[in-house]
Parts: sequence; structure tokens; C-alpha cells
Amino acid sequence: MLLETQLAFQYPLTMMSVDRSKPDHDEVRARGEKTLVRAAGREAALALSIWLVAMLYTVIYCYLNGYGRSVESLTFVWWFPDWVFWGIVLPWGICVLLSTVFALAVMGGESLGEEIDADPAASVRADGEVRHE
Amino acid sequence: MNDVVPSVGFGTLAMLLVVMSVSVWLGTQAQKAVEKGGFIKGYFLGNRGLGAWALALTATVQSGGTFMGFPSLVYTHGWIVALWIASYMVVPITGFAVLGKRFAQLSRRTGAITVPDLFDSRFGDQRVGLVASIFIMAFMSFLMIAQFKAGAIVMKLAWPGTGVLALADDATADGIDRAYFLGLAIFSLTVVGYTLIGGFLASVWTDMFQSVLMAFGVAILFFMVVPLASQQGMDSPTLAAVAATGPGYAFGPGWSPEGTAPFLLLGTAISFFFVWPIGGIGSPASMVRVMACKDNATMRRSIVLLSVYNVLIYIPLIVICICGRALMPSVGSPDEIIPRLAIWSTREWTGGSLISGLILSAPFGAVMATVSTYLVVIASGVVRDIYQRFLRPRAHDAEIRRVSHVVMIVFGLIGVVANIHPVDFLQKLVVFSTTSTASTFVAPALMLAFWRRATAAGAIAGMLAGAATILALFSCAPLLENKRFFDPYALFGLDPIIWGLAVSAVVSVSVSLVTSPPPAALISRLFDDPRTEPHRPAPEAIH
Repeated sequence: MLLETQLAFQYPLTMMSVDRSKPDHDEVRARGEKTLVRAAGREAALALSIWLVAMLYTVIYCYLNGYGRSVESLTFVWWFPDWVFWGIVLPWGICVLLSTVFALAVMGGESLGEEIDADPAASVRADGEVRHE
Repeated sequence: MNDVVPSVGFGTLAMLLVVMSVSVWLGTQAQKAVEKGGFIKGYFLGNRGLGAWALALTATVQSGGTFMGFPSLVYTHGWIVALWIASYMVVPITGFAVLGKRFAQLSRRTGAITVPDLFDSRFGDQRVGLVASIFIMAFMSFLMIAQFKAGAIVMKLAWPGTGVLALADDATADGIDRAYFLGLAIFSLTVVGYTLIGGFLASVWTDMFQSVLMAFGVAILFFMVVPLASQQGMDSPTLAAVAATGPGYAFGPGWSPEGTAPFLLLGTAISFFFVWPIGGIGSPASMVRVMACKDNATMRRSIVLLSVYNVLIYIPLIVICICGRALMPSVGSPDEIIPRLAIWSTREWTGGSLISGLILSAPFGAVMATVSTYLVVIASGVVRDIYQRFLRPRAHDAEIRRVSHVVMIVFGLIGVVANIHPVDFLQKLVVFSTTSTASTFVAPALMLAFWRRATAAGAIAGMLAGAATILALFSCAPLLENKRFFDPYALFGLDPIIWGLAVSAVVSVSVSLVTSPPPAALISRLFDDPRTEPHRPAPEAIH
């Protein structure tokens, strides 16, 4: 009841014509925005995990295999010294694939929400209301 | 064998003029787009309409350095520079997926146009926005002023008959002379002019244009230079380069001329996995661009596009520069390696001068785009975050437009005046500013986006602590290690950015926890389902 009162107050035109058997556009948007906060947190954590794994693998592999060697021990994969290929080029390629999968299959497509025009002179009171000075 | 100094033909100058003309034209097109909506949002945020290509090719850290300083490092130190730049493999995903979606959402929900706007709205305290604004303007000014010098020198050296050929922004080229001043004037007029006309969109579109130029330049160079150097096998460029330098050229910590420090020790290698990806997250210029993206799908497509773009730019550039060392083993100024290769490899082609000009115009375009970006961020800081917020809250569009133009002209003039006698340590100021920006903003920005308990005091303390840590580490190097001013002090072998980020995070969290929690209603408005929040009247719009 309370929620419906709020909805009527905020979206009077929508309420007059809405079919209550289906979620209206605003409701779908609102769900999307709520989901977005959680999804963005998960995605940020996943992105930072990929960064951490890439750093650990690349730096450790290159340090162990690319520092303090003799030229005689060097082999090549295409133009690259072996340690550059396995330590940098290959993980870089994997990161491109991971980023693609992440962007197209893991990242959610939630609505970013609708925009308000903010007043730069407004400040926000403790109750969350915007006060215009 | 090919160390003859190439001459600069008219093709280079012609291509620079083409780049400048296209940039001005893009500025006029941007102006038309801006006029379709409200001035402030259009001029400083492109009406939140950035598409995937524009976002991907402009929102992270491509700059003049990609085609200037980076090749010089590869030519000088060898394959280890691949490890120095390797963290670009994750820059697309960290740049967009860590803060992008939340910043885009919050900036819409609060109507924020600038980064300080967003800090202000999220923490409900104008002091947070003011502190953020002051830091952004200070750091961005250093970055912008340094680029003016780079632009002037490229203009000077593109002029046939100037006799030298160097594109590095730290190259003084033996001459702050009439050609330099002419270059400075032309560069400044062009870049300030088109930015003033088109605002944010002008800077974005020229940035995108230079990114495309850069891709063409790398592709052309790769197919011209690499086959020449690899005639005796794919390993021959590296072996020839090792023969010309030393075994360190193929391994870590890299080859360095006698008497100079090792290039990439373990601590530095770790540090650069923070500098590029985390620095990208903390850059206000990047933040404002994700705030301007059209929608979520745009951001997702941008991750894919930028991932592919980065791998196609950086890996080939490394191979090109290793081949450059094999073909031209003793170039006096390593900064000249890309222009030398471009001019030398096209010397027998019909219209080769134009092709080399196309390659060389990429860094010029990058410098222009970088200045333009910083100019917009600085102007928006002055106009939106100070003038409109504190001085003239009810200023109308025409007044804001006038003030924006005046601010851009003033900062353009400051850029010119500061470069009449450019200081030697300007490049170090760039590094200092980039590191400072990341250390100042990353922790507060993460709290802004994800931590309900974060307070205004915590955000201010985090920003101050991050900036102070960097300032201390850069300042104490001359005292403790007898280094020059603005050389960083690497505590325990780690770059200052790591210490700055750590201190900022600890201070932000600690101060937030010991201060009163933020108002529940404010947090609910920004973190919860908008349908369940208490009714709030729409704020009055300003047009």
C-alpha cells in the first residue's frame, strides 16, 4: 500500500494507464538499477582479480625466465624471445579473449537509469533531500 | 648501416596541416552537436552520447607518449620494455569494468556533469567537490602545460630545413628559437580554437581521429620495416640488436648505456602493473568519459574494441623498434627512431614523404587531443565546480558559455607563457601529476561507488593523504638519494604510486569508520532501488 502510494505520487500518469498484470517500464528500470549496484560490484571484483592474476603470472614468469640469462640459451617464437612470448604475448592474447568474454557474456546489460538535471547550487540535506540555495 | 640523418620533406608539414584542418572541422561539427541540448551538459559532457568507438579510443591512456616516449624506451633498453608496458593487457577491463558502470549510473542519478560534481553529490558535502576540483585543476594544469611544449617542438621540426628530427616531448632540439615560437603559436591557436568551439566532443573526436591515425601509422611501419629487418630469419633482428648493444638487450632488467641505472628491476616491474591500469582508473579525464558514455552496451563494446586496439598497437610497436635497432644500431637520439624509420623506409616511394608525414602526424594529433582533453577538464572545473557552484549559481547559458571561453583562453595563454622558457623538469612534472592523480582519487572513487559507509570526511582525508604521500616521496629523493628535484624516491624499490594508493586507502577507510555514518536517505537514494525511496521533488533545472 505504501509503495503504491509512493508510485502514484511519483508517477501519476503511469499509474493511470498501467496494466498491473505486467511490470511497467519504470519498474523494470528500477529493478535494473538495483541489480546494477550489485552487478557492478561483482564485475569490479572480477576485473581486479583478472588484473591481479595477470600481474602475478607475467611478473613472476618473466622474472624467473627473462632475467640473468645467457644469449646462448635464448630461443625464439616468431620474432619474440621465448620468455617474452610465453610471459607477455600469450597472456596478453588470453586477456583479450577474457576481456571479450567478460564484456559480452559476463557483464550485465542493466539500465544506467534516467538522468536528472542537477542544480550545482543545491546541497543535500541529511535526509537526502536536495536544498536549493 | 642506415644511420644517415633523413631530411624532412614538405609531406610532413602538409600532413600536420591536414591534421590541424581536420581537427578544426571536427570542432565545428562538435559545436553543432552541442547546440542540440543544454549548453553545460553538451559542452562539458557531450550530452552523454559517447559511442563505443569514441569511448574505447579516447577514455584510457593513449597519448603522445604512445608514439614518442615508448618507442624510444624500446630502442634504448630492448625487450624488457615489453614487461614495462605489459599491464596494458588489462587496461581495457580495469578502465571500464571497475568504476565505469557505477560512475555512469551515479552521474545520471545525481545529474553530475563533472567528477567533483559527482563527489559532491555522493557525499552530500560541497567541500568534497571543492577539494577534488582543486586537485584536478592543479594536476591537470601541469599535464597540459607540458604538452604545449611537445606540440611546439613537433611543429618546429616538421618545418623543412630546421635540420633536426626529434619528436620527443623532452627534446629541446637545441633550440628555443623563432621556429619554436612560431610552432608554439600555431599549435596553441589551433588546439585552443577548436576546443573552444566544440568543447568536450571536439576533444573526444580529435582524440579518436588521432587513434585511428596511430593505428594506420603502426600498420604501415610494421609492414615496411619488419620484413626488411627479418630477411635472415625472425630471430635476426634481436640477434643483430644484441650484437650492437649487449646481451642485456634481450633480457631483464634491460640494456642500459654504461653508468646508467638498470631499467626495470623487479620492484619497478610490479609497480608498472599499478601505474597503467590503476592510474587509468584514477584519471579524472577517464572518469568523465565513462560518465559521458551512451549506455551500458556501449561500455561493453568498448572493452572489446580497446582490448583489440591495444594488442595491435603495442606488440607491433615493440617489434618495430627492435627491428629499428637492428637496422639503425646507433641513432644518437632514440626519440628519433620512429620518424627515422618512417622517412628512411619510404624514401624511394612515390609520395613517400606524404606517407611518412601520415605516420608522423599521429603523435602530433595525440598531443593536440591530450591538450584539448585537459583543457576541457580544467575549464569545467573552473566554470562548473567553482564559478557556477559558489559564485553565480543562477548564471544562464550565455554567461556560462562566455566564462567557459574566457577560462579556456586564459589557460591557453598560461600554457603559452609557461613554455616561452620551458623548464627542463617539465616531463618529470608529468609523471608526478599522473602518479598523484591516481593516488589522490582511486580510493575515494572506489568508496564513492561501492561503500555505503564511506563519509565525506573519509573521502577528503583519503585525497589529502594520497597527494601528501606522493609529494613527500617525490620531495625526499633529492635529500636521501641526491637525486634531482621531482625524481621519485622508490621506497623498498616500489614506485610512489603504490605507497600513495595504500596510504590513501587506509586513511579513507579509517576516517570514514571513526566519523558519523552518512545520512541513510542520501545513501538510499544512490544505492537502492529508486522505486522504494521516499518521494523527492525533482530539483530545479538550470538552463
